[in-house]
Amino acid sequence: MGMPERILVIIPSPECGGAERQTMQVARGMARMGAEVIAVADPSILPGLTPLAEAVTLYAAPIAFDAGVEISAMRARQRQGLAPLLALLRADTALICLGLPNEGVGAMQALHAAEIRMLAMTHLVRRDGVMGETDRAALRGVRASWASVSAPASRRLEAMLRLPPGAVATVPNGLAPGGSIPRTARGGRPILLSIGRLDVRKGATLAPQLAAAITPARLLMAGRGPLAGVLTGVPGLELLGQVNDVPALLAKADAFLLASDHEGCPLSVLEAAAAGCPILATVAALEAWPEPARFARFVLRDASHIAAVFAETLRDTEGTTVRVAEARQVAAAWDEAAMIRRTAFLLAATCA
Amino acid sequence: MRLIFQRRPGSTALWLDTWPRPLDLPVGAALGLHLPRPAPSSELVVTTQAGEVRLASPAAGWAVLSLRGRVLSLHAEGGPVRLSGGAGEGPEFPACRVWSGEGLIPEALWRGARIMGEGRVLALAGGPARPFLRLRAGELGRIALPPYPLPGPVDPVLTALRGELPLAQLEGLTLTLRAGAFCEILWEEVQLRPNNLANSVAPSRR
Repeated sequence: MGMPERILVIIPSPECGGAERQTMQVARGMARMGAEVIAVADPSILPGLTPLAEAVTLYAAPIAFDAGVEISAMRARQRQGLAPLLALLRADTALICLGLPNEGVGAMQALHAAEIRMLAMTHLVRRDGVMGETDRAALRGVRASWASVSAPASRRLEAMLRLPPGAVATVPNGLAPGGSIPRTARGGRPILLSIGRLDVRKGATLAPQLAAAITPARLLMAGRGPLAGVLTGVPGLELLGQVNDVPALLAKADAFLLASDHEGCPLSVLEAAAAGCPILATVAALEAWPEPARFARFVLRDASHIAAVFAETLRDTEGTTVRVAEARQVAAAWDEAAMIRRTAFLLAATCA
Repeated sequence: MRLIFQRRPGSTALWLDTWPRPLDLPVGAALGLHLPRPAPSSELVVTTQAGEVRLASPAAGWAVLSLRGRVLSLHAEGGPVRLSGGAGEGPEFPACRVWSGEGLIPEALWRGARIMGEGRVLALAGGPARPFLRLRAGELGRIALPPYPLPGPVDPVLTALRGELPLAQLEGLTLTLRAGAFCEILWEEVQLRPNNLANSVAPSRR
């Protein structure tokens, strides 16, 4: 066939974060191309997806991955949750959003049983990640086409799934075109801004020491997560919660921080780059880009090192300006249209 | 190329014969009509302000014609053609798609690509259709587009969906690919070659 008309987007995520936003961005793009796009997600995350849906139809099914549930029971839950819908919806092909490679094995089995081809898009492939033998056995015979958001992640996924080199496609994230917000004239106390889930992976545990280390500058953290309670009331730290207008927030910050121990292709970096906000990030957070040192300063996951690099960013205005200009070019080159077009052809290729 | 109008195919159908059926659509560069079954002995004829556009032996699914000017009417020759009616609108309104802004090669030509090797013409719904080839190490594949006049010599624009780009050679509108390693290739577009001294009207410096 090679020309799918009805696309199923499966989101077996337990929460609505960057990967899910990116998936809905692609789903909306495919709907604009004329496809009939139906997204299926757990009822717990549907409220987060609804504002992102536009012409995408949303269905609820109990398919959220839960690391606390025994793995074979988890697979069975996803299979049973999805099977009735698949019989009803009769899609030509499916895009499945995987935070981690093993988060949707049951959903993939259900798609296979319903004879629906699929593109499994993996957003995070940890350096220390492994695919368990039972998951690999469960995927045996499942006809899936794989992709990830960065070239290093694709190579790791090939190793993890024991696939030949080049078998995993790479679709870098892209930023939707939008009006750039002029940078606010700075004065008073400098602002270091962090955007993302408040958890260990994103480096939120560093916040109390970091807030003290950069004083009198302010540390602003946008996002929600399990560490929100611990971080509430820390001196010098302002928790903003979920922020919808990220560009406006970036426009008033003196630097953007991403201190993750692993990332896929974070949209927040592209948003900071487009907003002209200097970027401080760990090497691991920027692995999706070929030459990140040209547009960002590297930090360690250490509060005093981050504070020192932040101070250098404020002091070395010439070096910062050069990086900010590079970053704007990076953001312009990684565009949404290319991401949607590439995903669309990969999906169509699943039917070829 | 951008989809600017769509009427999805429904379960109804209409028979198109030699009687011209008026069609009121936005002005675009390509028109898609949906056929529930192939019509091998028929010809679809679209009359526009600039003249007629024909498509012989349309296959089942979306048949795409390049347009010039506003569409006036639609008829069939050589035998009636069954068209899908629009979803929820009944058979009086045929399912159709209109795209604007074509590249150097019209959309209808891409859909007519012949592929030698493991591949297909790919498209996502009303998105662009492009030929795709899967090659293993050492394999050779070929994609041929129907003849079409271009304003000058062109180079192919290829995307490697998987693996690395293979060696590529374009002669006329026939593209030959030789792969050194496994790859999946999409022929995206052609671009006019930049002027070089040989093509330049500037006086030679030698």
